[in-house]
Amino acid sequence: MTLAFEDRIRAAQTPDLFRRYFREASDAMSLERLAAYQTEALKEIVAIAHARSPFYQEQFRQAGVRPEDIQELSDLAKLPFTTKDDLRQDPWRFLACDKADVSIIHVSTGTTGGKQIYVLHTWADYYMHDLAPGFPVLVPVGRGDMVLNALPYEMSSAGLAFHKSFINSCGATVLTAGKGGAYSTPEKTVQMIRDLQPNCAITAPSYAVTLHETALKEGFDLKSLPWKKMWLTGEGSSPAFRERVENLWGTRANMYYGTLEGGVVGIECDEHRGYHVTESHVILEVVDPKTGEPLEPLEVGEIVVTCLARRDAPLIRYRTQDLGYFDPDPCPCGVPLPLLHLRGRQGDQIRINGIDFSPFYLEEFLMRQPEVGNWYQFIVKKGDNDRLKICTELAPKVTATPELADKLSSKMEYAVGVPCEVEIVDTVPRPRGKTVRVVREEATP
Amino acid sequence: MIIDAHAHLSDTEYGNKDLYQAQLREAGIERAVVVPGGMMDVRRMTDYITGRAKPEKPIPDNAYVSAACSLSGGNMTGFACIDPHDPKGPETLENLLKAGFRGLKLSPMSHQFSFASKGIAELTEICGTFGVPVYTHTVFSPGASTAKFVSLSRRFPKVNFILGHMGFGPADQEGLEAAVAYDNFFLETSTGSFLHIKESVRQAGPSKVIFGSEFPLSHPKAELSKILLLGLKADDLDKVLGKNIAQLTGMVPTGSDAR
Repeated sequence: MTLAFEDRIRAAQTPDLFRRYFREASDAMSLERLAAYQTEALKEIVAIAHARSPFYQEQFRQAGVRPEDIQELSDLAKLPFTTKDDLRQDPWRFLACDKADVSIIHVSTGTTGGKQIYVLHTWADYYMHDLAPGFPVLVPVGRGDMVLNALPYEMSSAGLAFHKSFINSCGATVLTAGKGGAYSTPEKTVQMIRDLQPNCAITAPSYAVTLHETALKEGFDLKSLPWKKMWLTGEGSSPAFRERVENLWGTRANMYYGTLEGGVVGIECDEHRGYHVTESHVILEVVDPKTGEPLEPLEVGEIVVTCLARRDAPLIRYRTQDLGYFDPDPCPCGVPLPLLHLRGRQGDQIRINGIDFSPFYLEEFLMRQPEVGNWYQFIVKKGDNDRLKICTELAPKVTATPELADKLSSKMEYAVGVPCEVEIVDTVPRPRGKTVRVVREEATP
Repeated sequence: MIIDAHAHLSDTEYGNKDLYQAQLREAGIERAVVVPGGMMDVRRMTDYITGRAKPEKPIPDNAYVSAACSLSGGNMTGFACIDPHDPKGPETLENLLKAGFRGLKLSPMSHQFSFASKGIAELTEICGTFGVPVYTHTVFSPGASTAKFVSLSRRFPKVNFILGHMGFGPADQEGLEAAVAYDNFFLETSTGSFLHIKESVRQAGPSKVIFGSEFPLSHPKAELSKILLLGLKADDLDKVLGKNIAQLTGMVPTGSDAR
């Protein structure tokens, strides 16, 4: 009789590439060394995909590219893109392993619409490869730390991905609070926090506010806990909204950027000067959304991800539809990993008088108004709008008046330059899933 | 008659009325249009422009300006600074105009409003009723940009508008084009670049350009030098240095100017 789990662990092999490079922290490694690693990793991934993945075999054949054509990182541009539509077709075709080796399947939240996307991981990809590089500088969590994991555990990858990392990579204690699941309520989560006193937390920006409001109702002040670290992920957030969360929780809150399809992409440090790109896990490109041509640093374009720790289900040059740009300046925190700034998502832009705005750009200016509460919605029509309609709650102890609505409209227009119409409401609906900040109404004829 | 059409007075060590009057004497200037200052500490002006600092004293001290004008023997005329978000703003403006102020000074950087807002429309209406101009600087924020100020001037063709500092940046074409195109749109020269002032006089004409100093950030004599260097004919120079602002505000010539 064998011990199945122990046997599995004993049999597990970390690829030689990871062994050679990640005996040191991946967030302290020099860029030269990371580039050397990425070059090797890219060649290996392309060779694996070419040899075993039906989808990529076909893609490479159509593009007329062979593994030996990829010798340098700059050769990445020779490879074809992978799109969301590609992933929506037949997820099994991506596999570079037996179907039976797949251990875990996640499904997209549906934020971008269309058919569901399934993302497949083998046990080796999910644990051995993904957890080989560590981020002890950016994620200084270890044994003895207790992490509140208030992210959705089911279907999406968010909750489970951090659960896995905090337990297996960091050796921390995880509170499986979840978010919006069958048993997971804000009240139970606050009770958990109260009873068990975690010192780290990861959740979505809007849920951080929900938990604060719930704690307040229960007469419990989240700021009373000695928080060591907090991360926000799963939704975008403007710096001003994040600052509000920090004030409510009494701790620094750093953003974490990842995608279901591509995994971890960037982690903020305490400087809040952008996301440090996790170059151990991804090669990141920013390309012109129309032409696909790579862009220069500081030029906003579509973020393209090539996964380096996904060897059994490769993902090469995946177009995320997220917008962002590289910042060439080094970060004062000392982490060499390059900085990425996000600028929302292509399909989420709000068009007013012919100008496209990221909802988070608009949120930034709204959240700078102290009279505005933490819950709001932008009400827009599909296509172009002649004004931005904002439904918002007010901050506690602020009284609604027509003059205040005018003042807020004027201040918003000062900042963004388009007509704004603020409607003050008692309550904005609280979501169970992802927070809906932009409500798109059908255009009236 | 030389009139400094734009100076900020505040109860501060760097911007008070005594210091200003000393600088006026040094420049050989007798008369001035003064507005409340001190809402921002102009010694660190760039911090406000870039958003690194917020105005420390956003409530305009119109009383200080009023007192300075009263003590000036008719040589100083005040523009009232009003926060368009202040519910009592219209009432305050009316009272100050009745008390002798001769224009409205707006401060987008201090009060963060849109030129398209209802509050601004209401204040502009009052200026129209009293026949006094609206003066403002413009900023990079789109709601308080030069283009938005020009739009406001188009909505109120019977009200005169003065664009401070020749607009935003060293050579604001939107401001210049408006001064060329609209009878009620004027450019004020303080801290403006020499070449742009010269081009503005050439394109919009000397009746559309108004000399100002932006005391305490600049010195009236320094700003006056730029105008004198333009090499204008005497009549044109008179317009820029005083006649234009006197006409817009109804300032009565005194002393040698009365002849």
